[in-house]
Amino acid sequence: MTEIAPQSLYAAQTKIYPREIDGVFARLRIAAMVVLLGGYYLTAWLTWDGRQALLFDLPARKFYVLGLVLWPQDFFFLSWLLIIAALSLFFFTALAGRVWCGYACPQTVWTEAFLWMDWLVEGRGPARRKLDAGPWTANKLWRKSAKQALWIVFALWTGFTFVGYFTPIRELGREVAQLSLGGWETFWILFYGFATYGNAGFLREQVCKYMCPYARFQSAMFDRDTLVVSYDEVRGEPRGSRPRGTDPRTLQLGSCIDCRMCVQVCPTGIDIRKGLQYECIACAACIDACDGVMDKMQYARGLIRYSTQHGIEGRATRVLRPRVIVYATLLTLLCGGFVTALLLRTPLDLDVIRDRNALYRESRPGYIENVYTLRIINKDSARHTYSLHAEGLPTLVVETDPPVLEVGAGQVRTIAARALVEDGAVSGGGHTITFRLAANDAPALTTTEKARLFTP
Amino acid sequence: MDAGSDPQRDDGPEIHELSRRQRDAAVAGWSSFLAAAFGSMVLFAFVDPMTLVEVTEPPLPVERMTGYAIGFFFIWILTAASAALTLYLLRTSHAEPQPKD
Repeated sequence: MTEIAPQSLYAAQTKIYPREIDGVFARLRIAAMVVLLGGYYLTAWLTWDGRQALLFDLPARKFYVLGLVLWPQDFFFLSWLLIIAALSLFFFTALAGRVWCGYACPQTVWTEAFLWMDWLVEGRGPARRKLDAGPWTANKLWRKSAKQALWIVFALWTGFTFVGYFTPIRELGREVAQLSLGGWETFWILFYGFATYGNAGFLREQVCKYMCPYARFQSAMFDRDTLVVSYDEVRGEPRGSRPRGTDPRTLQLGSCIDCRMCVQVCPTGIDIRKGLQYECIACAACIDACDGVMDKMQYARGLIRYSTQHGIEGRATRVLRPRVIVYATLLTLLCGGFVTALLLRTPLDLDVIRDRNALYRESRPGYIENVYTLRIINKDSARHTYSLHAEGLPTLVVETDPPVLEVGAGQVRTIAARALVEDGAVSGGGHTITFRLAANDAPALTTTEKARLFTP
Repeated sequence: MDAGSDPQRDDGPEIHELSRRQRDAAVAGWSSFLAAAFGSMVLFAFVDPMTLVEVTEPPLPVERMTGYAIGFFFIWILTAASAALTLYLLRTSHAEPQPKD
């Protein structure tokens, strides 16, 4: 650590101009970008039952996911989902290395989009470099400002969409059009827009190299059977340039012609031929580049390829290994449990709070009464009427005023309830009783809550 | 890794990326941001800012959205201070070799 840290961490870095390349993986990356960015920008506009399909309504503390309405009490679903997401990351990393980094990470996807804007305005490869090196002519000024304008508009739109997941996006759009945007909405749009601009326009792969925690600990999930972008050293070495059409064996050379295309296309500026490095985000640009060169040289493709350590060493790769099986089993159980719990979820909650002023009282002759405050939370998207029962003691009855309880969709209603037992029917002291709240119009919609009842 | 020594990249301008100090700021800011985002999500899943407003001394006349923002930035300031202090102590320690910028 002490010998290598100063060099590798603090060496001055030059600006990297990744060379664009076409190939199987470049197309896959662009397809992933279109799907993910398209999903991000369009999903916010989808509607379901007359309201936004996906809305995390923070001001009202309710989450709308398609037909579901989630309340703060359902936070447990969100944490469950986060655990599933983390475990999926472990699973896919063990199996296929850093596919997340190469194709799905927001950092990669937005950087790709910003890079595309660079190319659109400033031209590709050498033209961009020449523009940067040249004097500030009118052309350069125009192109640089056009790029900035494009970046800023795109970043603001990204911020607007982000806030649109937390306040209804159509209203937000109207407010923007009428210049009547609220203070916090304006702030968060600018905040998220600035973060997009900074991360995808300015920092780019430096986020992966210096700021990303996953890049540093992903190796813990790797083993010798994990899919990684690797250079076939046995086949490639010794590397060296050679005239086209000569047999490398007569020159005692390997397949690598040392054209450095793999280095030039690398967005993080590493040389994959030096072996696996934590800077590698597995974007596979070097595979596309090398395959193109191999085609031109009429050599077999795959000098740089997706392979495993074992594969490169010429040994068999084992896909089903203990850690993969363990991750897969856990993931299946968690996903199955999540879906089951979500399907069995009752959109009705009942809180029972005992009256703190008195243990009990004799309200009418021959009866002992306990008083409770009930909070009925109708989490369903329809209005319901409920009736309340109590069980657990002989002669126990419960009364509310009014007797039939009506609660609107997504509403909370607080009412008083009196539980009564005949004097002498039960022994003195504390007893546990159960309140049962049932919807009159939907038999499946019931919930129970335990409470304490005291008698003299 | 060392792109500067690459002869085929030398026709580009020598524009330096982030300096060490900027990189330290980015690392501290980012790691504390992740922690603060997670922390405020968990906190406000269980606590409604409006209930905190009710018990605040002196009373804070704020809306729920302001409550979320105050909570998030308060946690971020704390986590950022902690991250920055950690980096500072590591960087100024005599036991560690001092990296050259």
